[in-house]
Amino acid sequence: MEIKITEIEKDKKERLEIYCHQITNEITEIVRFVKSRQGQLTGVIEGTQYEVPISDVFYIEGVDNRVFIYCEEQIYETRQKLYELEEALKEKHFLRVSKSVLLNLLKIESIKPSLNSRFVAVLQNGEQVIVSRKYVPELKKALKGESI
Amino acid sequence: MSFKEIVYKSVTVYFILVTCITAGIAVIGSLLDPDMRFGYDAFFSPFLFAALGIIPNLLMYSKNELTNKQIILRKIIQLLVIEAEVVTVAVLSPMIPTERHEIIIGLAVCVFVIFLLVNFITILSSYFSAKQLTKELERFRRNVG
Repeated sequence: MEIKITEIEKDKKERLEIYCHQITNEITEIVRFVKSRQGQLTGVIEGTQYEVPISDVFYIEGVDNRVFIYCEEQIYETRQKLYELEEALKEKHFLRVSKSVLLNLLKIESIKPSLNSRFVAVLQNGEQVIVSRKYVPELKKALKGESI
Repeated sequence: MSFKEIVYKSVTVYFILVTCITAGIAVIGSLLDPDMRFGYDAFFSPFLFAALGIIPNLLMYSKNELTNKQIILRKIIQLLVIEAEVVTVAVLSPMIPTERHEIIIGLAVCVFVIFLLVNFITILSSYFSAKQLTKELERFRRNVG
């Protein structure tokens, strides 16, 4: 695929157009990535696609090769991989807090101690997410505003 | 917990154990055998017992993240292994008069109390860390918002 990037003036609207023979998985993956960089994720509930604003996402969890987006009440499934989302949402205050969970730091209400030197993040909707000991240093760095 | 984490945690727990065992020996000894006198070699026993007490920490090793139930179960097994270790060493040691049943019971109770104390200190340390993290979280939210 040929890639062409043209710099435009500040007053013109930025846009990304894709010319393709067929909308393949690769193309939808690129679209999903661009959307996630722009502040939206594509989630599916019972076959229906929804655009989920990143600011509404509490956490994202990988369960048995499937990835779920948890909002205040709704749970969406996404086709994006957890590591892809981790990379795309780095700048949006999302942090990996265990092997399978990406947490929106802005949705944490408080942090409580748990067994075995782990912590529990209590979210604004009352849900609790385990923060593994391994990821605590990264959490501390992120809260201090240091790059990880 | 990964193996590296286990080693890191064991070093911290080892020194808490040495302190608690020293205090435990002083309390149990003055209660059950106040006239007993020891040489300088007795100072090494807390280090030895702490080393014995730290080995069962390996039971907490797991490649996968343990659930709270699994942690509690492993902690119970860990306590039983430590009890067995300490009582066996005490019975084999000529310095400890284990023919007196109250000494064995005292030792077992002492191990139990030290086990609780070490876990309590660890939880207390986590509690203060969590409090600190919550404060940093509030500061972070203010800065971002």
